Amino acid sequence: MAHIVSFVCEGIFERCPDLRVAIIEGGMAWLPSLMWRLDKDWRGCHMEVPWVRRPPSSYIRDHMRLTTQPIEEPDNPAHLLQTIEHMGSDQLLMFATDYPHWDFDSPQRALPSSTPKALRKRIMADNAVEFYRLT
Amino acid sequence: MKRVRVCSVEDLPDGAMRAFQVEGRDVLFVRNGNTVYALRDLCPHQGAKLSTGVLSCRRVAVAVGQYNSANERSMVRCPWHNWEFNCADGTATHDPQRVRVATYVARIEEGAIYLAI
Repeated sequence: MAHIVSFVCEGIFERCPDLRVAIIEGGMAWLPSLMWRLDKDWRGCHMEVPWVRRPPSSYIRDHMRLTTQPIEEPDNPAHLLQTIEHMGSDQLLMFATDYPHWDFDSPQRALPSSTPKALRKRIMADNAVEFYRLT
Repeated sequence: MKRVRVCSVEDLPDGAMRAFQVEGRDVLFVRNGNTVYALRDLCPHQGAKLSTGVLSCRRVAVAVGQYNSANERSMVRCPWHNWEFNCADGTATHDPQRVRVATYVARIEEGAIYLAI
């Protein structure tokens, strides 16, 4: 979380507009509230970081990706899908296993079974293909 | 549209801002030399009176990490959450396309400040 705030507010993506950053093994459920808070405070702190020229969440969506492992497991799996919806994009998450650690995530079980097919495809393949420019 | 005499020029010194009630509306006046700006004295965020905030320059960055100030006293900053508004057109710094304060036409004529309202 601190690294994301630092990357955005120190103007790294203004200085290096082609830079892309993957945040791995840090969970992801905290990202929506971090983006809400950053955008809210940026509106009143513009004079402190005038080089941050647009809402911080837009830099995150354009330049950063998070990975799923260790994915949060709420009692109600639907809450995880709501959290992903709150990110405002289906392109921010990439599947990760953490293999060969003993507590790795299985590709078959990491996402709730109720995950929509299109979203599952995004997380399991498309987002990484695009981020790492594998096409 | 009516033309209403608000005050004499001496009541609004150069570089100052002051709120007046005009025709039942709270209006914030900002004087910059012979130019007077008039804005609704209400922040669209949570309703604070902008007249209790501060007049400020516009801070810009020509490069990452470099602060530059432009247009002295061109911005009014809300005292509650620091939202900034351009005195000339009422637009908010963070989202000038969608967030703005209503502005009015004000002029100095014959030693007095007049508002079109």
